[in-house]
Amino acid sequence: MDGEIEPAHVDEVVTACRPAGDLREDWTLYHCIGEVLRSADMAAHSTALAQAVSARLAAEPPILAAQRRPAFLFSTRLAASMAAAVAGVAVVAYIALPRWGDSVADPPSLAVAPVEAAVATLPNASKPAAVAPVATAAVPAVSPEFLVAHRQFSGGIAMQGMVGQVRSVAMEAGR
Amino acid sequence: MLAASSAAHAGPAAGTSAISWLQRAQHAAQRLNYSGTVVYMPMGGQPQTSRITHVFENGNERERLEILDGAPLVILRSNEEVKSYSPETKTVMVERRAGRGGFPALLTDPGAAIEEQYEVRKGDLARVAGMDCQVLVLESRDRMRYGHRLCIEAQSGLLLKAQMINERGEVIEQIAFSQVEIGGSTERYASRLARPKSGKEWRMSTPGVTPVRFADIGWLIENPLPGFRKVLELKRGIGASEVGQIVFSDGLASVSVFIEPIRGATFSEGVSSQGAVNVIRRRVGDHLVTVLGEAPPACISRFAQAIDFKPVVRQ
Repeated sequence: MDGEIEPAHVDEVVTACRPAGDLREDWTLYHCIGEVLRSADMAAHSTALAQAVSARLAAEPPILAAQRRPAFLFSTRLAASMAAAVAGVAVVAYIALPRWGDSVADPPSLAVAPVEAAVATLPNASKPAAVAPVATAAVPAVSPEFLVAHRQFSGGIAMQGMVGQVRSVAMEAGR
Repeated sequence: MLAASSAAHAGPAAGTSAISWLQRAQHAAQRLNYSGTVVYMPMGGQPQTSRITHVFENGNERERLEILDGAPLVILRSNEEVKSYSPETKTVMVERRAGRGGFPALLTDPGAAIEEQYEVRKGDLARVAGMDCQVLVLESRDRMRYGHRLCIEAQSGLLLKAQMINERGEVIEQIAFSQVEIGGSTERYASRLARPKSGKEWRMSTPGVTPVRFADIGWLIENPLPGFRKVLELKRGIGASEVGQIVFSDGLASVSVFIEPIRGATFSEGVSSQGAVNVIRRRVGDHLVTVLGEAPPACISRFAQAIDFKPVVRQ
């Protein structure tokens, strides 16, 4: 009907459908729905319908973690780009997780490992897009005392380490 | 160091290697007299202007940094002693830097150590604050550190501009002189090193700091990345509590691990980012561990994962 089925399998499928009364009813119902949707009476409503469907989709809760899939499904090249995507998803999941669990034996590998895997999988490109940007509002801002305690060690050679001082002041000002 | 010293005074030799430019920049920052206006620009943030004056005389460094935008702050450094004057609160915070010379001194051997972790190469010639400079590009070999693009003044070796570059090639922060004077006598700069007028109303504050070996009290903190080494471990009073701090550095990037006991039922874990600084907080036993540093999230994660606690059983 829509060209999806191999000609060799047509008989097999039709035979399988024949005894199933429910399937025949469903088939008829879907055809009926299809015809109504394509009818001239529905055309006037199509814009509103599309908007309503879009709004419902937007309101759906986001999927935070991709399901693990076997690596052999992907080619190497695809795996690299997938790893980058997974890294992004994983970082979101990582941020969304309320806590990592109390047990020390339960390290936060869920979130952290994909980021590194993505970095490792990518070819030797100079500008990898593997590591997703980190959300800023996930947890409360770090205590300014910690930034101050860190500042004297940050900045490297730039401006005698004074960049660390300036950075921590700028962060304070930006709050 | 001798090579760097002579290079700093003799000017750039033809064919000077990229790494020797880095050594010159480090040496010049410590040994030259200079004064100028510095603009710090974080990605997506507001520029912050400061005035800096640095003198080197009889083996001693003196430096004054004044923040010109927002809340006033004057930081005076005399070798390893740092005094931060806050005129609004009338407080002076006195700190001692770890070790002689504090930060650039951490780069004890900038040559070999830096080159193992960063690919250092010379870029084009550029012009910053009206001066010609040599561009130096440092790229992380393992992508666990941010890259750097430095402009080093051709004659003196003073660093005029430094950009930090993330994994996507974006400049996440930049600090640069917009105007600078280099060289000349210490007297010429003396008036610019004045401390804010002090009086009885200024309150002196010294953070309580005690050295501690975290391994002795059950903390297992393996250094997770090559090139980083532990440069400091101590406990410091922050607010009403005592917080442990362990600092790792690879000479350019530094990561602090803070350990504090969890008090009460509320604490937050997760990841956040403030400009170039990424932060991860996780619970380890009865403690909250905060790892922060100007390094990519993947690097901070590695440090956060490398921390474990096994209570010490006393015999």
